[in-house]
Amino acid sequence: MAEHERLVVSTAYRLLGRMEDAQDAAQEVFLRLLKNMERIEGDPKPWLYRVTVNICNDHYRRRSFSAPPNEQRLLEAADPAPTAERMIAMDDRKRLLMEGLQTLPERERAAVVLRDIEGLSTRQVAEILGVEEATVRSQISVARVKLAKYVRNRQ
Amino acid sequence: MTCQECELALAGEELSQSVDRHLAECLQCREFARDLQENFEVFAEFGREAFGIEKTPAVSIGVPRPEAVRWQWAAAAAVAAMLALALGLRTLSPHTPIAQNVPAPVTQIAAVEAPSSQIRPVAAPVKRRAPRPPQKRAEPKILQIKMLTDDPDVVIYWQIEN
Repeated sequence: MAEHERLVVSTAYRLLGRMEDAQDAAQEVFLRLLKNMERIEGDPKPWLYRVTVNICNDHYRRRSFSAPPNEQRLLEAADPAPTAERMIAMDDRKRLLMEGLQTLPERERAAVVLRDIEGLSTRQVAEILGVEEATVRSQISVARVKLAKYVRNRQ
Repeated sequence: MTCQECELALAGEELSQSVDRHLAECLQCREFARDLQENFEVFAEFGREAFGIEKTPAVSIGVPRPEAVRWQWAAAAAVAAMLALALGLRTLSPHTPIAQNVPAPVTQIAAVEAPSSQIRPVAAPVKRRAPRPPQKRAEPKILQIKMLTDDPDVVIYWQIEN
């Protein structure tokens, strides 16, 4: 269960950029899981990813775009690195990447979070998002380019 | 190969000789490749970070396995059936007292006429009635059984009128 918790909360956090929203989304996911427990057969991970992405997309659409992600929260995720300089650079990159993720279109954001952060295969991402593998590959490439440019332009 | 094509190829992890040739000539794309690599490292770190859900009463994280849920429902149904059977048998039992239709005894009152000479107008003493205690209505007894399940949204109530 702890593994599922991590999966849902971390995915929601990367998709929404705010821990409060991620917690709300995660609670919604687990309530749906409770209601649909009988229907889920086998590994519940694909179902959890799919529902998490859908709920986060709904949250994202509902919430005000004017409010920027809480930077302090973004920095909380940072782990200590060996050197101070490296730590600062990594924290900066983490913060910018989290910000950058929020600028991506819904599908690209979901694809890059599932593929690069959650480490799923392109095939799994395609199944979760209900699209072709080629579409996922294209979305991920475009999203990575956008993110790299977002970080570079702000460093 | 243009820089845009090279960037997309690098982002899509589609390495080829033409990409290598372009990288050898283009400083900007080499920097882009380094940025991509660093982003991958950060993403990998993101994936290793531990997150937990804040537990609230609305969510029970200890989600039972489907088999456990099915078994518990079966057990609850069996208990409910046994209770219903026991209560049904109790209701139909011959020991249960049955109200008999016996006519109530009639009280006979003798009408006696008082002598008229003895009748004097006397102010009747005002008697205050003591307030009567509230009478209980003869309501049927209702036995209520509340059965809790693992699902906080599901509570089974049995109401039996006796």
